[in-house]
Amino acid sequence: MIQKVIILIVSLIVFLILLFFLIAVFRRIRGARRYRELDRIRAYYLPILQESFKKGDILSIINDLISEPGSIKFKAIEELLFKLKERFPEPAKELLIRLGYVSFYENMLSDKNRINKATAIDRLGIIGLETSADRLSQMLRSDDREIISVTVRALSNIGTLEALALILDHLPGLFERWLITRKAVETALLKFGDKGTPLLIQYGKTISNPKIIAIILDTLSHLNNNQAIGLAMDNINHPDPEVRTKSLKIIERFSDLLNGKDLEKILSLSKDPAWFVRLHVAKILGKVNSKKDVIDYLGKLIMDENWQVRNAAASALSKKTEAGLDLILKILKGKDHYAIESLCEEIEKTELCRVLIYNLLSPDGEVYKKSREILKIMNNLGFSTPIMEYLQTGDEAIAMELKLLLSEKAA
Amino acid sequence: MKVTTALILGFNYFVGIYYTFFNIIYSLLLCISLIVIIKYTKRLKYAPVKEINYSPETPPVSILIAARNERDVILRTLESVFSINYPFYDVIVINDGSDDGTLELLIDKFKLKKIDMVYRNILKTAPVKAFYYNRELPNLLVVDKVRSGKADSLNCGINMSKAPYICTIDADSIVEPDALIRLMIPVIESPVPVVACGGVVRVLNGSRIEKGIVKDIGLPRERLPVFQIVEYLRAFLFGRVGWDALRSILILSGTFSLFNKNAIISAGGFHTRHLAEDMEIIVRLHEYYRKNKKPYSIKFISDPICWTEVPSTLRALARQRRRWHMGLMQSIIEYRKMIFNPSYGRIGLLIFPYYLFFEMLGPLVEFLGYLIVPTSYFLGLLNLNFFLLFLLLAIIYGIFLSTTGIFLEELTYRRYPGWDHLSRLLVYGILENFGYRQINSFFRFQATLYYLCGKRKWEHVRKNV
Repeated sequence: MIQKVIILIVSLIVFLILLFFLIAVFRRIRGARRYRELDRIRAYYLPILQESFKKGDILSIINDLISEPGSIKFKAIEELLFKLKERFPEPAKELLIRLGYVSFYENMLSDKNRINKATAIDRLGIIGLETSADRLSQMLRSDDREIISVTVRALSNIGTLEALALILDHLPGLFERWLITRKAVETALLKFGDKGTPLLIQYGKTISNPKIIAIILDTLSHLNNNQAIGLAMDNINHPDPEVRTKSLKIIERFSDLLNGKDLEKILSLSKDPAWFVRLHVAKILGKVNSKKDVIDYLGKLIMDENWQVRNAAASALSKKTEAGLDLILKILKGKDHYAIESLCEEIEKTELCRVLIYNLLSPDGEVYKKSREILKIMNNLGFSTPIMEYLQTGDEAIAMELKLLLSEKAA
Repeated sequence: MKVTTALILGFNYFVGIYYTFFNIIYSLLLCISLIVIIKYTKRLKYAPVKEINYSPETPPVSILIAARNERDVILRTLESVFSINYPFYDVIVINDGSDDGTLELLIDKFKLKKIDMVYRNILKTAPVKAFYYNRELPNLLVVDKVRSGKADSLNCGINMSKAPYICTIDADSIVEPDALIRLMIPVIESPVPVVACGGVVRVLNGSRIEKGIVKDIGLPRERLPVFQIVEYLRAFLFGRVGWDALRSILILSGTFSLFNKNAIISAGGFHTRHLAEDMEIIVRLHEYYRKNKKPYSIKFISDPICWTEVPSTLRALARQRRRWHMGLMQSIIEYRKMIFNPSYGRIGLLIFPYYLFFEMLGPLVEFLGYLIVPTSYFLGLLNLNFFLLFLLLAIIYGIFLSTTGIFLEELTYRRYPGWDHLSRLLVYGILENFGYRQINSFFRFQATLYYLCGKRKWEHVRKNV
């Protein structure tokens, strides 16, 4: 009995191996034919399509392009139209409608197979017809994460304000049901570009979900429209630390527009309980003008309990060049080793190191003295590579000063 | 005598049951993989590769390359890494005390200059000697450190990384241009935090590389690497795909994997005493997240590809396989508390027992089987017909598993397009069961003995380039 079972299993396995082999061979032959045919059709129709698009005459070629949905020709023409869409968006879209691609994919939206449905959504997004936005938005009612992600992406490919509004309308529900991730939404929203800013700002003012406000602010921080700074300032004291951070991210981008009052509000956040809020404060302070209070606040942040904040403050301070010399010196003479090392590292990585070296020829006695002292401390701490490099290739007068400085260390 | 006979007979029954279970599991994995991978390849049509590549929201990644005496290959690897499509990434090469001029080559090629940087030992590592950097090439940093092994070098890279994600790449590997972006897709799209994500590793031997990109995929002339191609196809396309579908990934190849940096730091970094640090870190991540009841996910994706050199001599293969098996044993024995422990969910109840009984003890059973089953026949304890049939079944099923990996590749990615590729792979898929598999089992059996004798050391594998 057992022997019979084994023989049966062996036969079945041999049959499966042969079946797989035949399938593989068949698929190869079919695939080769299919790709040859695809290549042939593409090569034949590409110049025809290009020519008619250039002439602005698509009607004369429509009959020749018509094909059975799902056929190789259908696929080949679709690929060509998608390719040409970047150069000739309107005639390509027109042909995609007239040749039945849009209706084909719109019908596929009701397909029960998730992959077919997602493919249809994706293709409608690539075609990018404004009229598809409404149909696509219905897909946002789905409970399927994959469908939701592809739909949001497709709507962002359509790129109209209506499509943006449709995404924003559904956002609270999608987040409530854990159907989409932040990164996926942010990536999609960014595709609307600067034209979406007013709508995003308006939406940001009405929404109460802190998660969504944070997404809107984060998206705005990547766009070039400075109107966003108003929304950012409105949310700067929001109870949610992430919202405060994202607000500061926008402010950092448009820091040159800040007035004294705004700056005061930002400085008050240097004591924020969330370290990532303080980190962004430090970053902003690196970009705004070098008033004394700004330098003082940076001095406090460089002693922060969190290392990321201290690093950011050190980096910001290294951008302050001469205005920050006093504070740099004060920190380097202090006892906080982490702050000292962070600062030395930042000075070496940035242009400030070169500035300090050039200051050795400064006619301003104070600047000369402070710069020299900073370089000396850095050298004593082992941050001497820029000095050594300069000695090999730099100006002779400065090199003399540096040699003197090195000999003092040796002494 | 009666006791011996009973023992031999008992062992024969055990082998039969063991073999049946093993093949049932493999058949199930195969069915699952077949469905999953075909669906996955269809999904690739609408994967958001372009969107992620152009989005400022894509998380930055530090690519960590631990290099010890990699002078012959490191430039090729860096060329490949610098040609990937990814918006924000930096590369940290950790020179692990090379004495073949690897560091000098890097300094010379990239015009690097020594820079003074503060080294923060967040994960404790061996001392760092120097940092090299070129302001014109700000996304490359070379760290020169005292020799301390790959795991320690990776920890050093983590200490230096400022990105939220790290990607480990072997110094002799070639990454496909979209590989990192594809690895990042599940991280971006999954609502559950993905703490580690691995891609497929394929055999580089025999392929032509141009400017860091694999141009012509081919099969090597040597036999041993072709056997490994068949083996890798099977291991990655249906082994790992199947386990991933069951959310039970226990190994991601250190050759090419993406990790959430904070997750690695929270779990304590790569373990320096382990021979297979890539497996150990995955086990530890499971342990850490399950113990702390934090949501997490570890993913394997079948399309981001990294090509790597495989050993082309038996000696090198033996060293590699012994190290892998000893690493596996180390991980399973160290984390034995997870076995059949319901608090570790399917990791404790499914994948860990599988690895213990079939991966760790498999070579032992197989090797003893080769001795005891024929002995039983010669002692007249086994019916000849039954013995031959069982042998036939074992061989045919082995061929089935080998060729199925090749068929899966054919149905999905078809990276080996020539008819000669297909026919050669199929022939090797059949031949694999007449020697190569047994040799591998022997190396793993040897590793078991080495492990039990306490001979646990990292055996360096020199590959032909």
